[in-house]
Amino acid sequence: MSDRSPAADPLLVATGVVKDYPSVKVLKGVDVAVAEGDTFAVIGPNGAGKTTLFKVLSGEVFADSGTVRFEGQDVTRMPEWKRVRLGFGRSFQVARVFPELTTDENVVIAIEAYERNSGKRPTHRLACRPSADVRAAVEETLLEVGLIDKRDEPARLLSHGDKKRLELAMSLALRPRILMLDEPTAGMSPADRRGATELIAAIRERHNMTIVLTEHDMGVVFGLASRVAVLHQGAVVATGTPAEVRDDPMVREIYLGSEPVHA
Amino acid sequence: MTARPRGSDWRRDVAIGAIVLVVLASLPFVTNKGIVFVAGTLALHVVFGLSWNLMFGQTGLVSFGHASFFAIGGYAFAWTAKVAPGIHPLLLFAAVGAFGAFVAFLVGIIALRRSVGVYFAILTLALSQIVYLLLSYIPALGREDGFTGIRRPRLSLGFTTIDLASGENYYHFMLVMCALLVAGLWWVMHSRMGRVFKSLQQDAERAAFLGINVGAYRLSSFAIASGTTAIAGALYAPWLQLLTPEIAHWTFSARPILYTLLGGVQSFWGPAVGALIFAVLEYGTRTLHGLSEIVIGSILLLVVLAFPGGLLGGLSRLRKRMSRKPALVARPEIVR
Repeated sequence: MSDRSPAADPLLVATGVVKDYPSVKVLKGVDVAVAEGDTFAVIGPNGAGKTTLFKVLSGEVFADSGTVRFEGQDVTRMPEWKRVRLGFGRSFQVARVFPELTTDENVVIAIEAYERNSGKRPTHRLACRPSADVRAAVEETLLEVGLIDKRDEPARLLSHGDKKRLELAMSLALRPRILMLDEPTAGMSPADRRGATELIAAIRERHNMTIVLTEHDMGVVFGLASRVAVLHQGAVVATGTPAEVRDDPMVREIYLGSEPVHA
Repeated sequence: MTARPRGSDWRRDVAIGAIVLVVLASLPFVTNKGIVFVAGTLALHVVFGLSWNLMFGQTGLVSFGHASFFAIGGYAFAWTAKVAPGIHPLLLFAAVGAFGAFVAFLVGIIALRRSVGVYFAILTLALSQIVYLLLSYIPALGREDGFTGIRRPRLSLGFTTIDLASGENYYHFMLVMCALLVAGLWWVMHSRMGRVFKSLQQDAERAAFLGINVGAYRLSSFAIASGTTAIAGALYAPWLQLLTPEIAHWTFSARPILYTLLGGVQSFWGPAVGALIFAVLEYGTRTLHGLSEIVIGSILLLVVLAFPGGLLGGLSRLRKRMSRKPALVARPEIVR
């Protein structure tokens, strides 16, 4: 069940990842390898362990055993904020932004965090107002995700889709090498879903970014992914291109058998 | 409702601060000593409340032991001034602030390691009880009788020397110091660092995924708030010229919490308003023996129930409702 990635040096590699919660074994030795430039989708029925795998990869929780490597460096026990500084960016299943702050302030915090992470010192250390550079970067980021009109709105008043956009904007502000999206279109209407897919594709083109995503919607997966891993009961049962995975008899069994297909 | 560094924001806050400062500074010329004493103590309590809200409203840390730093500052100042009277008072105030921040740093390394929320609250409560007991037992600090005979120092400023013991000099000196501390807190809350603190208060996990070292910033917030309060405590020692372990008691730690709930957690001046209301209530009910607690308690209860966001929170909601009615109707999700 190991991943046969075509790239010589995969960017993100998980080997033999095991994660138990008190009463359940969630991940039972998962291997995945994400090559640079891939859009890697993790799919699988509810309860297959997608989100847990995602948390292990991003550093929100640590694996009980097994290793996670990023560019060859062992990051298995590295806390999330340090992984972010190596080049991880992530979004959450239910978009998490700073609700009482405005859209603008949310992005300011992200961009100032990026400056701090990359060791850039502010020119006016004592100034309260964000620097001109930061304000310009905020403007650019908000334009890119289409939130410029809502920059002064408190984030809690944004629609569900806009919150997801804002979260994406904050992740982008960090200029990540690898962007991890946990169900980027969860809870969206079909139209919003199409918009989100196009936005992610556009961002990938522009920034030449590696993306890891989990997704329920097969339309989104087949529209975006270059590689797909199928997770079932805590183990990877198939990996390959979207077409390979779709034709895999075992995957068909999982999706068309006892488990309902999630759309 | 959030405090943000908008263009007009700092002008408004500076104006409010200046007006309050002028009013307080002129009190000795128009009122009696009793009211001046209340006002001086109020200034210290404003710093006490604002620094607690730096942790709570700005960073999302609930401390139940903030008084221990007030006490540490007071006793550290009194003891050092007694054994080494030659130290310049300004240097001593700064050193006491650094000492308070350092103690908070040590405590925070342990208390903030894995525990936030109620665990941090309980650990800080435990700290304050330890400080309280230590102060009651250490003979050099006067045990339960308190530390007596604290002198108001002479302040040499190079070109002139002010005797803080004469007249209302110490009162005015204290106002200047408190104004500086308040300005410092204002800057911390509105600076880049303040924005990071605010992000932790809103969603620490999200902040961590921006590469923010959550633990280090929580520790900074705790240390800054504690150091500031230690200086307020140090100023209190020569003000009262007597320190008792009561200032480390948990009931005193409850003060900044009450001020913040009363005045409003989201606005910068909220805890200051709370402290003012409290001081007025205390002064107004000082002759009602036994009744004073009941009266204060019921008024507090009433305010907190009527204005869940504190007085300033209630006012700002009211103003928003008056000025933005159409927007509210158009966006029903605002009404939560």
